[in-house]
Amino acid sequence: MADESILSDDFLRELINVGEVDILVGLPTYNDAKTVGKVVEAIRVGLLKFFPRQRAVIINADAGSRDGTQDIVRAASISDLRHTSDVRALRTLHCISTEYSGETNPGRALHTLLAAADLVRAPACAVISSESTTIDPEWVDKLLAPIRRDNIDFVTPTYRRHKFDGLLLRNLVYPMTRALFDKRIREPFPPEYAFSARLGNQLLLADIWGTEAAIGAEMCMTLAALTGDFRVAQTFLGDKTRVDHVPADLVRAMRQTVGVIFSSLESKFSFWSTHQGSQPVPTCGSDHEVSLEPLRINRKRLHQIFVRGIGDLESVLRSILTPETMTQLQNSVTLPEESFRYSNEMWVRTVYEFAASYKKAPISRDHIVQALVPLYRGKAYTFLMENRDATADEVESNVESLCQTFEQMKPELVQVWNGGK
Amino acid sequence: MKFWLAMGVDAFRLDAVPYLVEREGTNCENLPETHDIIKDLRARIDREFPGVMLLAEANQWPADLRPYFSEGDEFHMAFHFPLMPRMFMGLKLEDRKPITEILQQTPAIPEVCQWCLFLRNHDELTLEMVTDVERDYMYDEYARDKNMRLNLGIRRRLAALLDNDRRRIELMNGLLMSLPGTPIIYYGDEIGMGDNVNLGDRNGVRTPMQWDGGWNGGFSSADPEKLYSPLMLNPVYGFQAINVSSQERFDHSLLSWMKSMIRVRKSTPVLGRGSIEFLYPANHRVLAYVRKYQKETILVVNNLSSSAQATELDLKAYKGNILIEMFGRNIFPKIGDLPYLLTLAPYQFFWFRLRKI
Amino acid sequence: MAESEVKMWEIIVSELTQTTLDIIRDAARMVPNIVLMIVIALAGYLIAYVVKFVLRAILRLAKFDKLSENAGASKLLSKAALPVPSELLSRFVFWMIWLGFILIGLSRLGIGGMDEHIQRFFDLLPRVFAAIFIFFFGLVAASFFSRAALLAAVNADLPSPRLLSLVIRTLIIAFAVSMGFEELGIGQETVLIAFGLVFGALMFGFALAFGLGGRELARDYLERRFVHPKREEEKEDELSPL
Repeated sequence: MADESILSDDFLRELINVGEVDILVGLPTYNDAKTVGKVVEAIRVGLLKFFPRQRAVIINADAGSRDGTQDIVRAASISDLRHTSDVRALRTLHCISTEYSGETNPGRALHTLLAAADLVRAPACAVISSESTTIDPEWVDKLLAPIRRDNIDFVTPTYRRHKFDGLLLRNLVYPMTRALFDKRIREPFPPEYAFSARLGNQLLLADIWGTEAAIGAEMCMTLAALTGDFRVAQTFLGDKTRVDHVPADLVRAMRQTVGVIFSSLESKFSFWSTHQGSQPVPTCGSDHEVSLEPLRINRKRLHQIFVRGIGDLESVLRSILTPETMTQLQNSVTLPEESFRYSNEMWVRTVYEFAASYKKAPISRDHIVQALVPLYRGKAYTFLMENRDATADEVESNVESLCQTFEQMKPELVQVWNGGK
Repeated sequence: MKFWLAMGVDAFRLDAVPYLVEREGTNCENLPETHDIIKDLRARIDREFPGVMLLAEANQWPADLRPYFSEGDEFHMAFHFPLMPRMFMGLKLEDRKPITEILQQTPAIPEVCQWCLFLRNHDELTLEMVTDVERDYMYDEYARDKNMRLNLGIRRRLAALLDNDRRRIELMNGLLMSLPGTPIIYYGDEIGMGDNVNLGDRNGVRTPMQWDGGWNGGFSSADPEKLYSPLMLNPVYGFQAINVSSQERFDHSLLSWMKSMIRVRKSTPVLGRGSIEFLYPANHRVLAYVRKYQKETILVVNNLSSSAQATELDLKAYKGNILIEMFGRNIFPKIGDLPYLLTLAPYQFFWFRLRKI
Repeated sequence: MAESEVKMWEIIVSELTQTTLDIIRDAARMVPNIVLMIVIALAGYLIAYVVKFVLRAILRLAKFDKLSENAGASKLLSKAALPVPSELLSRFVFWMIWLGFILIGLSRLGIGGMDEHIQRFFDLLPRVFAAIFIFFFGLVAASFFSRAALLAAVNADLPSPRLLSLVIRTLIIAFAVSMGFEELGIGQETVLIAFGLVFGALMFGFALAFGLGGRELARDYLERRFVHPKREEEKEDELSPL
């Protein structure tokens, strides 16, 4: 544990002034001046509309923005000093902001929010992404009401998304989380979510901060909620904001989700080895919705990267996969592009072998996660091909059958984990 | 009126003044004819009975009350109705915002005029001058029993509203006496009398004054059954528990405390006549303001919260002054460059005289 | 005549006896030293054996073999038909210690000129360990960084990832080797210069390639890494993976 507090003196002083609250809304940011104004305004309207009598605070954890993001958030505060006569509010609403160095501190935003929530004794907290321009003031109610009213500990969102948006989620993270940890959480790595003080405190005390796992702190929270004695629920929020992404983000996304899941397999073995199948989670609103606008996606490139990956990474893959799987993959790249299919069974087997190798770690663990990326692209390609003309229901049933495969083949993973390769 | 003036009356309270004159086709409130009448009254009183005071009872927004002072040729004083429920609101919310905002909206009045501040009166605690959200909040917090609600107000006494909490009673009286205006204390509140909600209309707060623990609470020697209203009898607020005579015996009683408060208030003209400037410490549970009059400056700091608070006050403008706490007259540290740190117990308040030596 | 012959014989015999006695006396004087030397050698054997045993256990516990496997050292060794790294290292340490003790014993014998050589051996010993250390960690680093480069290049869709990986691996091993030799004091300048030449040539080659031949490639790569534009030719919708 670090000797210094992660909360700066100025921020602590601000927390003293905030005092005890009933609701805390956390807002992690980094150079989001273009979008954060809309988000924070929606949060404010939501708080005034649905929780006018509750003491609330909006806390911004900023990774070192240089575009005035923090000032925009602070300007949203409601107090007698600011004479904002256009806003009728019963109470003062503090909007405070703290800065940390983002590059050297992954997971610091959530860590800061958890520590602040603990100090101000907030019984219900929500975190909202600063890029969610599709936000509606209702989100505040949808996320927080279950925590406050129904004793839920963790609320994750469900969205309306394009059928090809979130491929990693649909093809790997959702099915694997569901198969291993027993609950059908559609967004295990959610951009917005809400949690109770009990769950927040448990995560705050966990040993993940300052380690590599902290890069996927939200995933850690999901896993903590699923494997602990916590009540989980989902709520439908609406459209998910589509954000510009760069190809390099895929490796990071893998680390944040798959990397975290793999690292937790050891410590949570007694949980995932004894549960079979998966349970649905109580959901307010629809479980998922799929939109079908035409999009232009470069499928060919995905296949190319997959093929090249298999070739270039042969030595690495051989130390991870079984010889049979390796042979199958090498055979598959010889097929022409149109007839290539990364079947569900093959994919699940690949993933589970990667998971199993994580335990022994023949090479560095981060390299294992990185090595999975090109293989995932192959699966993504297959998904795009198979669902090119699919309707919403067809996409959902394809995803469901992949989930079933993950669940059915789970005993193999348990066996390998126990017995060794 | 001349009848009473000839008897030696000092002041008149004009009830429901805005509705004095009614005219078809208007909302019958605040009509110019009303002001004409008042001006006339005032002029005649000034001519024939100088020194007599006119007090307006007008339940209006501060801006709408302003005309009743005119240029010093109408009312001398007016009740500040909108402030009163907000003091109670700020206390329950543990947030100074309602109080500071209404005072920010209060216009300046002529030098020779004065606001009249009060916590309670013989009517219900009126909630006309608040928004619907605020009214619902006040009802839910202060009048959970619907029986207590009347005419868009709450018909309870001060002590009952504050759960008989001595600290809160003291804090509210402290605010009453340190905010700009002349304080009015409703009879019985100086000893902490309770109310009887079972009496109809507003009569619950108009029970006989409790002077001592004996016959009829010392109110009258007549038979109790003949009294205009039954006495308070319960063990908490009854006349045997709460009466002037027993409270006069002890220095720590509410009555004795009120007397010493009044003594301190009278020791300086600042609180009555001075200007007010709010400090806005970042801790919204702390209400702090500076009162100035001629060469004197007083700093008032109030903790509206039920828990202990720490606050830093920006007193740079008063750097170099020593703080002298006005009740114990002990000195507190000098104001320097850094923000002034104060810690306050639940519902505690400080009055500091600033002195530069 | 017989008398002088007898006298000469007596002198010879007495001389011989004297010399023999001297030799025997010298030898006898040496016996304790020899005994001491044998004792030291035996003690050394025992100590070396114990150290080897303990070291082997420690290395096993610290998963040394696993680390070497990562470094690719195990592969090298098995190709040379040598035993596993922990075993090899333990044995090496054993021999070093025993040899050291034997040499200490020898020095006791007081044989001239040996001391200097023995001293040189003991001076060299820590250097040898340091050099082995450097080689080994050079291997580990080379393996790790070359693999990291390979994975990064594959995932960023760069051309020739295996070439890049091999280059990095070679460079790091070359660097480690030259550092190791420098430590041992063997052909320092030669190795350093050779390394410098290779490194410089490689860099020069890269510069030429990027500067002349690979302008487009370099620009593309830089743009992709630092500017994030939408590529005009491709015009695709970027989707979030999560």
